[in-house]
Amino acid sequence: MLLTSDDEASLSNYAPNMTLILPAISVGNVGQLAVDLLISSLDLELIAHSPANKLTLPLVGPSAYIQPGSKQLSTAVEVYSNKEKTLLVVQQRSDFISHARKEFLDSLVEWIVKMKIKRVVLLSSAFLSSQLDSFLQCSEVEKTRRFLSKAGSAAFPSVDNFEQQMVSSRFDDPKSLRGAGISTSLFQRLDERNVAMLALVRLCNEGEDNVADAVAVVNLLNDVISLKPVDKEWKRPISWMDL
Amino acid sequence: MSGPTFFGEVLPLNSRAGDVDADFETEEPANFSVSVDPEMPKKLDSCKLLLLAHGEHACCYIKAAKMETNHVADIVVASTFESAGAYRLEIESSSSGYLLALCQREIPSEYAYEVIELLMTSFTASPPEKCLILCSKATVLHRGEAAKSNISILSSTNAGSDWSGVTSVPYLTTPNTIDGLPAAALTFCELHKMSAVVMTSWYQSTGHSDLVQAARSFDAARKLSTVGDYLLASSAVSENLAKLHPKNPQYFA
Repeated sequence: MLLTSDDEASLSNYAPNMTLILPAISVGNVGQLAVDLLISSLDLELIAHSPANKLTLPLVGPSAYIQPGSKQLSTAVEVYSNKEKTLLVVQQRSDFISHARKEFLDSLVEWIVKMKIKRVVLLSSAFLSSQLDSFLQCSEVEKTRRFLSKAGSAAFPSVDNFEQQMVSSRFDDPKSLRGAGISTSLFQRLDERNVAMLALVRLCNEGEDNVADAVAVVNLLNDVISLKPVDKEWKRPISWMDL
Repeated sequence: MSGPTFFGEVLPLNSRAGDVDADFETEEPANFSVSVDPEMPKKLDSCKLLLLAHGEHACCYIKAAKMETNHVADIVVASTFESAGAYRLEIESSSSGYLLALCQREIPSEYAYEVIELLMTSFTASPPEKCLILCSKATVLHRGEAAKSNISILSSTNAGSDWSGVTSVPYLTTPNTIDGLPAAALTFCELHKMSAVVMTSWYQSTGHSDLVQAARSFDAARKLSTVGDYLLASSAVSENLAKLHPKNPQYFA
């Protein structure tokens, strides 16, 4: 459902070696900002506007990454890949239609399993203000909570200090994640299906410098799966000119 | 969540994150239903151009500019709660093979894609050859550089040689976006590799003179390929726009 059957066919040979990276619509748009940095910096190419667009609030515009003069469109859900086809990156620009979240989750999980995607990375965030005091006083690195599915340890061997259970938002549970959108539901579903998944959940608040939160997330991701040389700066997309 | 504004008031902040994330297993069904009225309208054998007018300015222009058409059906977005009014997309066709869709009152974005799917499949035997979508936005919403023109366009990847004249109209600049029904229409066309252009008129205010000016801006659509073949002459359109009732712009005085 992320791709049409034609686009799927062109990727099917690569899928068992692919890392799928996607954002959760969450606090401060951190996941989406992080994906913007990845697409802009890693020279990824647009391979499809996703059929999942019909499950989101409609949004179109000129390309967020290419300089004026290009006629490439941006839509609400897009799929990018690198030339070697080891990375598949989804950008989602608008939230789901309220009665379509379950349909999206169910079909995404089935698609990941069907395509035999090697591993999944979810970039997300949650409200810092509703966390345990220990998180309020933690370091910048510790502000990004790491969750690994049961099958994730082998696929992400360098991740440390991770948690294996993601708790959805409940006021009585101090470990719960509020403002993280579909993160918990997606994590639990993929965990049940033995999919290797890493979720990076940045604790932050709206209205703070959420770009800095996004940079922190992609820096941590880079430490885990080496996307670019450490000393190379992340490239801001042209769509950020107003930020 | 709330926060201080520039002037010190504390107001609720917009957030894409809910205070308590939804339990998706018990998600509520949609509050509106989308249908065609009447259910099985007569289909055109082919459609050279689908012209979708979204919002007050675009509908004003089209009502002033269109040649003779026949009402075919309405696409109705109706609430399951009787107190809420229905939204209607009026569908008209002409003998010259174009289809017209008029959406005076903006349809909720949640149902936009469903409406567009019905629009593209219910009234013609095969998909329209080209789609032109007219919409408008307030100038204050233009982001980035100031708009150099009061008209801008955005096109699907397949809108190439069959839209001659498209380069004479300024392209929408990043980071501006379009949402709602026009965005759903362009997305549908992009996904189905159809040729489509969205033309946006940027208006200064909601006053009558700015409404007429914004409506008149759509006449730039004549620059695009054969669109002018389906419209009255510019002089006739201007005369019609001048007759717009100042208190009731849906009607001509």
